[in-house]
Amino acid sequence: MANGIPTGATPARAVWWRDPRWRSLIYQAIALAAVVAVGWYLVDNTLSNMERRGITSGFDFLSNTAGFDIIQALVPYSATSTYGSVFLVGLINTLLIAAVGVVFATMLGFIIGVARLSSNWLISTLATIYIETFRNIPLLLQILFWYHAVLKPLPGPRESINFLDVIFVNNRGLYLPLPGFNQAFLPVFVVLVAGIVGTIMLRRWSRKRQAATGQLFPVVRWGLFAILGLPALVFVLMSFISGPPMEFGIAKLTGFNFEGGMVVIPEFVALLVALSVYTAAFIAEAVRSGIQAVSHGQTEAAYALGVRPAPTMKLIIIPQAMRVIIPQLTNQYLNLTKNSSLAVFIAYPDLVAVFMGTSLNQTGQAVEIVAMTMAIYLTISLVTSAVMNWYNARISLVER
Amino acid sequence: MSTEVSETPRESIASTASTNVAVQMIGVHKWYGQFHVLKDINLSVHRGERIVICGPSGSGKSTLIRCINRLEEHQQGQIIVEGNELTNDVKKIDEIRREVGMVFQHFNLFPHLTVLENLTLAPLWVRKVPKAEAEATAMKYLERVKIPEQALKFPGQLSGGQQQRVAIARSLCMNPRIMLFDEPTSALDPEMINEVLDVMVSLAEEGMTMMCVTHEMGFARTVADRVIFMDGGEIIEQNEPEPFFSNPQHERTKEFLGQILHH
Amino acid sequence: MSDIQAEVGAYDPGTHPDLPPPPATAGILGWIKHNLVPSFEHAGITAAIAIAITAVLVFAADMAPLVGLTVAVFGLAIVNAIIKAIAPDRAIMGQTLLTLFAMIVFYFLLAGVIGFTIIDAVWDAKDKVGCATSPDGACWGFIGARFEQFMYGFFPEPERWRVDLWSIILTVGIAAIIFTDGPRRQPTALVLFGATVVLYVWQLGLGNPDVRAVLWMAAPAALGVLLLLPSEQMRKAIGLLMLLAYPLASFWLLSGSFGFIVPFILPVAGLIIASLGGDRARSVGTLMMGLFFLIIALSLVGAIFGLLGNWGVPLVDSIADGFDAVLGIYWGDWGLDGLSFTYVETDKWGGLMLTLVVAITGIAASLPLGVLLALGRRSNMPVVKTMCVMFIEFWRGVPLITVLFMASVMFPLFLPEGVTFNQLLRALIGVALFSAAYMAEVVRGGLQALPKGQFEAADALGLNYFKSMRLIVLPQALKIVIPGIVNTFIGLFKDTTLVAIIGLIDFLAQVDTGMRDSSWLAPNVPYTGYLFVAAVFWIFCYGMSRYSRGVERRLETGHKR
Ligand SMILES: Nc1ncnc2c1ncn2[C@@H]1O[C@H](COP(=O)(O)OP(=O)(O)OP(=O)(O)O)[C@@H](O)[C@H]1O
Ligand SMILES: [Mg+2]
Repeated sequence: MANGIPTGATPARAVWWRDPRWRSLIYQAIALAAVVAVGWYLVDNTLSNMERRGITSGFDFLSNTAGFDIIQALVPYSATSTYGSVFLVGLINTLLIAAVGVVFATMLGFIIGVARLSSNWLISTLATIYIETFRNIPLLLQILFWYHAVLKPLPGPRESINFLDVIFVNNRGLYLPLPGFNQAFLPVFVVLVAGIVGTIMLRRWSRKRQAATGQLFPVVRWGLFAILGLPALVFVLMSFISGPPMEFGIAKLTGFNFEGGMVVIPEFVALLVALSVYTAAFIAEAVRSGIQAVSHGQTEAAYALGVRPAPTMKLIIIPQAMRVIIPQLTNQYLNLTKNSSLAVFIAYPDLVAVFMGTSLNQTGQAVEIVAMTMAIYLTISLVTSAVMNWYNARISLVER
Repeated sequence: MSTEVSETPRESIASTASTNVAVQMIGVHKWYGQFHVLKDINLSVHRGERIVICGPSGSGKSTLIRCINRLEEHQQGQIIVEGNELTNDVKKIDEIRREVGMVFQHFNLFPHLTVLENLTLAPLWVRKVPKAEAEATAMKYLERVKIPEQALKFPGQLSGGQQQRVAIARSLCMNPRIMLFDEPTSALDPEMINEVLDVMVSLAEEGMTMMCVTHEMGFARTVADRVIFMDGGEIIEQNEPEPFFSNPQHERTKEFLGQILHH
Repeated sequence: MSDIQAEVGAYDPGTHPDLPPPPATAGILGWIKHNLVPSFEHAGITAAIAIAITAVLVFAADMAPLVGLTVAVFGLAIVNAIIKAIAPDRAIMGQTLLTLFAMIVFYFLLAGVIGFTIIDAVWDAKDKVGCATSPDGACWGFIGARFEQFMYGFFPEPERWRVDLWSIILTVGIAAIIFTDGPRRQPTALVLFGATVVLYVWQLGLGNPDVRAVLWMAAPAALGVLLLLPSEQMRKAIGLLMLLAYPLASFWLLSGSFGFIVPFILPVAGLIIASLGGDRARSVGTLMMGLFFLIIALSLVGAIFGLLGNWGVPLVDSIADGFDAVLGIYWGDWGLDGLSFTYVETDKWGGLMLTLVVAITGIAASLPLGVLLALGRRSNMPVVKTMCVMFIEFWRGVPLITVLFMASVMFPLFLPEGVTFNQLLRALIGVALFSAAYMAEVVRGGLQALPKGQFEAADALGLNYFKSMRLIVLPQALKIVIPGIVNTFIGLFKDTTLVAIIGLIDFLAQVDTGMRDSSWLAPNVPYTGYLFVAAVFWIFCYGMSRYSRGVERRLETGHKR
């Protein structure tokens, strides 16, 4: 600018070390360098340590024979299977306990959460006692309690607790009849499927009819009949025509133990009960806070319009409460899944117990095994929260 | 006030033939715990009558009109709405609520439903009207409150005045015989108050029975057949607007009017 | 008009007195009607039917009365449900049946708890034989016999007064912080002094009190003194001491080594002086801290020279030696080893004491780390932000058990040859990193809840980033999330039980191993043991959650005002 007149195109610039953009670049470079340096240092140490201990890195060990038994495997597994199979069996067991736990915890949690809001003082007090008791006691303690204090002291197979000669409970597990289906079940199955399809169609039809004539149809009642009642009727009918459509493999005491039937190992039961009871307390709180988050004005507005309490619940309260409940619920499902790793304390063969525990001990492949196990949990968490974010964005109330 | 009321011939309020009574309260008392909120309320409202209730904060105005559709339960006395006495009988309560519309201070629209769905919800689930018909009615009332173009928006996207007009339309969709208003304009900015009052005035012109808690004295003067002053849970004074404002009888009424009219 | 006003009440307008509500709607009856049964008629009918059925079941079917009542209630519930399906208005039994059901459950609960813990309990059993005399009740003798071990693990008997002192400081410090702004401080202090006197007289009556008894008896008096001191300033001082000096004191008391903490006295004292005193003190304190950071920097440089020397760079070796010689004095024990107690290895730590150590370290470390991470996550530097997000999401995505496994098997691999880490330290690092991630999310919630105006106002005042965070943003954000922070603490406290997986014997593990001891193998011992641990954890956790709810309520009213 020879003539000394500022052109006004660019504002005067600060000295570079006072320029926030430069500063931020420099800070970031330093942070990155520090992290890379620490990371490099750790990796370097790890590599040399592994070399010194004669551990070969890599995932080859997955095809080696594991050589130990697992007390619960849903896919074929024996002591001669590989570590890869161990990983799979553990993963399936983790998913199994998580899935079953989620179902039970949800049912229990919703019941308790609704009870917590009951206008009946005794009921809501009971619910409060439940919530405050179970969520303030460590989960591990509850698992150990169910396993060591309740299930393990049960009598041995010979003195099993016997329910009508079909269900047996002893310290080796819970023996349930194993359902087996034969050809006579086919009609029952067909009716069941027809019932489900029919109910869906019924629902559509009733919606259409409501739109056209305003008449309401008790879909739930008839749907329940079609899905539960009709198949049951056919079941009874088929029993008369061609013998029972289902045969139950019932456990029998042979020698010192039971054979046949379906066994649920006590480790599974203890873990399931503890996880469900513990998580239900948190779910109940989520349900309560969700329902309470809907302002009382909403209920009053619906009542003032003449809407009865039941439809008010269904049309006004629940849809709004769900927006609060579902994110918390998902969080609790994730917690339950992660908490199922406490299985290792009572030797329920979940992913952590059989893979991070036994397999790591035997192979010494610490890095690979820790990484694989953590990757599984991370994947579950990240996928779930991605889905949650999408869901939250979708359902969030439209605001100005 | 921008509201102008053409002098439609008012029904004679002198006739008290019981068939003509919309709401009757006889010796009504209500307590919140130990707190005596409504004390010996005696009041009858005729069909087509427009009543404005005013009084200081906490005097029991909201409680009074909320007793009429049983959002609050009274403990002594009788409340008879359109010939039905309010008791614990759920059926009766339902019947009465169908006939009585209510507009709240904070609108209480259902935020998860569109404006149209807000309006058709009760007709569909309570009156069991076909959907097309319910929507036609809804649109008709939206036009009456002058916001048909907002039908597919959500309440959160509307201004306060628009929301309150939707709330009024929502009540009207049930075809009520009585409308209750609990301070419908006091949560609104000044420029939105008139758009809501206009709707209320036009409702009054059509002969709707209205009970309205409000501090809009201009509205009371032009529209009301009777103004009721409450204090401490009692009806202190009631009169036609002209004498009520120009010549209040009771000390407390004077005091209250003094505060509300000259500040 | 006249006919409207003809309906005149008994009083002139404006003179109606406040009357009490009619009896059936207020008082106990009103409460019952409002909270238990909507209608006395319905309740009467339902109860009569239920009792009649119960009577039939008891006399005809020979059932126990309670079992009979339960059966009756469930039977009637089914009947009620059927009625409801057919004629909803006729199903009048629901609420009453619910009340009856709840009463039965309450009865079983109370009878079970009181029966087990008191009526059927054995109080003075010496071993499993004693316990087995009443297998349906608790065997409190087991807890009594093992109590010290449950509290202190294998901490040597003569040194346990150190743990006592440590926990007394902790309790008194926290209690002082919580109660110093509460009402009725003077009377509370008086009660506490009174308690000390009573305890003292009682102990003297028993004989010569030992040092531990004296310590415990002095605790209430100490709290009383703190409560009497002027509150605002005092609270800040106590808070600072607990936050900064207490960790050092803990290390000294618990491990016994004074030498280790000597070098850290300088910065901690500096920080305390700088935060408490006036302008002069602030510069002195800052100087002390600066000196410490200088020494750290020099030590790092020395270490780098040492590394370079190891790689064969000439000459640096001797420079490193020089550094070592100078700084060695600072990092040494300063000849203050006389102040050390008998050294107690961490593998002797156990029981409730270890649980508290893990929990408190986790809490103390996770808060500052969490704040840093939260700030990083909200920063507008993409690299920093990405690193913080990855760090947080990683730790939040994996179970604590896997973290502890990792700490146990991977940390040794991370370190250079020869450097070892004891098991406790590994667990502490794992727990701290893990809870820092959770804390970060809580703090982030607080930062997000702050109105944007606060940030802008801070900028407008010309404060730089660190000052605006420290003076304006963080104090408010942290205050909003106190309940969240306490909830994270509760979670962390319960999670400390997991450290048993890497061989640490915490409170739960100590009791759990205790009841496997062959001399206590009685059926009621596991129940007793777990009940005891559960009760202790419950008191801690419930106490914290009540506190957090109290704060929450106070904050809510604060916002409304
Ligand atoms: N649910 C309740 N429980 C206890 N007391 C209540 C309840 N609702 C209202 N009250 C009390 O009853 C009295 C009357 O309340 P109400 O809402 O009817 O007053 P209002 O005349 O409408 O006042 P405002 O003009 O402020 O709306 C007040 O003193 C109020 O504190
Ligand atoms: Mg009001």
